Amino acid sequence: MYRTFILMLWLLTPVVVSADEIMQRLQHADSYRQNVASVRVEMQVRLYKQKVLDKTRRYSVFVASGRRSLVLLQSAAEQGQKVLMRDDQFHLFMPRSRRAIRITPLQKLLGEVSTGDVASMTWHEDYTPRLLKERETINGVACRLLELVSHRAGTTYARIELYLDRLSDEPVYARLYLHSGKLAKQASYKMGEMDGRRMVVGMTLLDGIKAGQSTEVSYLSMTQVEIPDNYFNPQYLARSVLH
Amino acid sequence: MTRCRLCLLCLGLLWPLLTHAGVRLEYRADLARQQLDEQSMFVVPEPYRELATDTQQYELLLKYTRDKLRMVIAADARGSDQETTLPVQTRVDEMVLDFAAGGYEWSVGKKIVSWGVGYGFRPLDIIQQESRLQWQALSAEGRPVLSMERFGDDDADSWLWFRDSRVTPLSTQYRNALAYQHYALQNSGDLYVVAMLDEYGSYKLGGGFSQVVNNNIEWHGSLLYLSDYEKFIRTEGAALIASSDPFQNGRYSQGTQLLLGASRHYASGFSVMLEGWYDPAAYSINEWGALLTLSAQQLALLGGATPEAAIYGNLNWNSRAFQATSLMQQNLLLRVSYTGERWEPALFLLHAPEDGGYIANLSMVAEVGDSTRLYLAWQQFGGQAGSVYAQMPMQQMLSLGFSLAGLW
Repeated sequence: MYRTFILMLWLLTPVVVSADEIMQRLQHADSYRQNVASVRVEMQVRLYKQKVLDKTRRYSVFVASGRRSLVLLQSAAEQGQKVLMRDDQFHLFMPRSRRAIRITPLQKLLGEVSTGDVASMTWHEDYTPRLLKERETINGVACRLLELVSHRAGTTYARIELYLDRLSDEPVYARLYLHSGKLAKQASYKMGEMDGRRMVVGMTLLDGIKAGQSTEVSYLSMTQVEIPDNYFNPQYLARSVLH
Repeated sequence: MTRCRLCLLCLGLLWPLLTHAGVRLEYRADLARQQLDEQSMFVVPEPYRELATDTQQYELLLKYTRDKLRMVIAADARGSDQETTLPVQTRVDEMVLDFAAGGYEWSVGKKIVSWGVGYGFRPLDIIQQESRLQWQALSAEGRPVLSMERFGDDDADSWLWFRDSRVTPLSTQYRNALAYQHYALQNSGDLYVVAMLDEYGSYKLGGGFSQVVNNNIEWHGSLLYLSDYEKFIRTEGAALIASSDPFQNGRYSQGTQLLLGASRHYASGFSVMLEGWYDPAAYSINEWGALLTLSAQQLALLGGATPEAAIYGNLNWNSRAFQATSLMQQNLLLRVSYTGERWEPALFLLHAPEDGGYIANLSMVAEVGDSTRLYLAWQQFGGQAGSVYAQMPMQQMLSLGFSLAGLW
């Protein structure tokens, strides 16, 4: 009787989780996406319309500390284009014009693939997390639901509802909201082995605005590299060594 | 089907067989039909007419980038649709070696250098200035350059020696020049300072900015002081009917080019841009007035003692004024565009506030597959009676083209 009472009390007691612990869980979740500070990621993006493959695109992404990333577009139709993201500053380099132009945060969302989706590898530097639900099941996986609210200008999404595996903190599913409050995308994360480590190896983005459209992002490789600081200077993008 | 067109089309179809690993090929074909304004003074009758109503243009670009070397070789053929053979011209647009030495980044070779901000006009493009609103423009050709650059965390300095060229309908002139650019990256904007000095003592000094105001609005501007500039203009004092080409490069001292613009972007994919600029290197409204009056006086001589070949020849010389990069000194540009996944329609309206003339351009770029693009553009010239654009020989133009790009 006493044991049953204790068990019931334990089950009914609201779980109090500190903000520090939630941040640690978010950082742990981020480590499944980017496990070292400075990486080169090769990725393939497939765009589907009504479940039919519409386009395939290739990207090389350099991600470095200080919220710096550089996306090199590698497909035939886009080759030579580069998108530089430094904190909340964005530049686009078009090969025909031979110069980097400053673009607004909204412009990085436009076009076929949001460069914000392919170049943002972590959440904890940009978002403040809080626990929304301690237990919720997504696709048969027991999850914690976190709400991430952007505390920086220029983030692709203003708010994210992120479901993390309760046991491992692996990202499972997310709802991504724009600054207007509109649900922009729903993301499902695919886990797998990469270089002998359990990592996010892909994600599927279901478009909330363009009905019937989805994007499948596959991380082909993630290599730790030392990236020269020059790579993140907009004026450097015109140089041929960056291709 | 002309031999040349067939040859270039075959090349386009067979190019995968001609390529090597790491080579990118781009092939573009454009056909245009122009409707001439028969009321224009500058549309002279056959056999004196030099303007073609149907034109064709083909361009093949071979691009190769490996390690520190970038190379762009171009071959183009263009002319009127009546021509049975088109001369194929080849050129090296770029061949540049980028390398680091002594703490600086160096470039040597032929290179396209673009420093300007803006869409319709870029005063700060002091190394080379392209015609920004020309629909059928061929790819740009670089300049011989030796540059030394320093890149900091938030700034950069570039020093260049380059060989400048001034291309006029009569000749191409070359001169050595030194140029400098300082770039500073600020929290919400980019700042530029540029300077140039050539071997004859001509210099240019200027600055510009591009600032992101919020999530979807950007504005930009630039100002360039010119110690002197040139215009391809009719010699003062030339006879009413000149017996030899009366046009030459007129030299003017001191001028300032100015650009101010802003753009707003919407989550739906639409963008709106407004720009205004002033370019003293274009004809002033008085210079246009003088040329139009002169052309009317020349035309009035028809039926008199002056041979019509001389009259129409002079009018043909005069009509070259319409080929300038900038036609008017004061310009307002409105551009509305949509960035879709397969379709990119755009409308621009270039208005000349000095005389009420305009160019309206409606274009559509469609992506077919992963490497093919189709282009369609319609351009209309008009405005108030007497305005420069309303008196252009060309009234409207329809252009159709496609491009292929491939990597092997």
